[in-house]
Amino acid sequence: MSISIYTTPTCGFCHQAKAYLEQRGVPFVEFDVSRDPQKAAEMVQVSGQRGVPVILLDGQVVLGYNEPMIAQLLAQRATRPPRLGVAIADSSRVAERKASRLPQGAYVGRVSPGSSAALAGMRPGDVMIQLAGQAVHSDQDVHRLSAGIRYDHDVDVLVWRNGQTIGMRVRL
Amino acid sequence: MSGTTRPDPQDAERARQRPEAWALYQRLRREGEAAGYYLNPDVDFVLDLMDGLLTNERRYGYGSCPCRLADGTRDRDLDIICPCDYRDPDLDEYGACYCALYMSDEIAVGQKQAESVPERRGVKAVRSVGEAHEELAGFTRAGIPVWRCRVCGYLCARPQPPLKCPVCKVDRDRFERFP
Repeated sequence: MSISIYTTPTCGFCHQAKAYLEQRGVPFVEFDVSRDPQKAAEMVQVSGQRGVPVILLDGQVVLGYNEPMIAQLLAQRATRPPRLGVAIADSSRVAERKASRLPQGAYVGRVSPGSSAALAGMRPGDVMIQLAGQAVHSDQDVHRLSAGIRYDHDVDVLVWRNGQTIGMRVRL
Repeated sequence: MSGTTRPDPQDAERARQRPEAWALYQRLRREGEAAGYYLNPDVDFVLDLMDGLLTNERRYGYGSCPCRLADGTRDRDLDIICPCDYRDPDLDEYGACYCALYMSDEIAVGQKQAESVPERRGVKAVRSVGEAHEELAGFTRAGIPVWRCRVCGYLCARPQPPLKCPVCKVDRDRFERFP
């Protein structure tokens, strides 16, 4: 998800933050943490605190209704493509180093908490083998393919994880 | 400055439409101003917060901060029961408390918009009254224990803390032994 907002229905700043995004026509997904224990735990883990709202905007954590920071992050969208939120490497080189068998693709070394990839369920150790319907043979393919991806759109990804192929839909 | 807001022709309508929230607003305003605390001058914003406090009161049995994820156990949420333990430091530093219910008098009279205040509360629950370190707590020379209100700092020397803080009206369990 490109923008997730963790709220309680009782908080004035949560209402203001949502209104701000709505006024600008920016799509977002809302989680009511007073009702959703799983999302509440996720919010605490990602933000390190229990105050609301918490906004995940393109992988950045915004604490509270920090309007200047939200505006700045939205403005950045015009100048840079959306990011998955992963650190990747060529899987053949990783396989060589670890002396293990990995399929050809982009090895996911790190997944940023709260990023699009994290929210879609991607984990360190996964190997991306397909992105947006195109085969991924190396990390370079991911860089090339993600340049054509737009904000607020879903992208289908296939990863290899311990011998299994897993499909996931990533919202950027 | 007096701290009271100008009479607003919409007030009668607000009181009629949201009687419970209005009554709580009036009480907090009265109690606050008596102790030198001012509410956010944006009445409709405050009434939404009153609804939030009332919702939490019904849900948890106490009015925890509308802008914080409550644990649901009073002991673990003691520090965020409104007025929270963090109100005064936030008023000092940012001119508003975390949910912007309380504001410093300078901001309350000015035209300045409420800004977001960073959360100073950690994820770990604060220690509640009566737990460890009792032996380190203070006594007066007459041997009477000293109690401190964690919200406003009010100190008193008596066998038990008062049922309610005479200054900020919070409940007995918001007191700690002093020092």
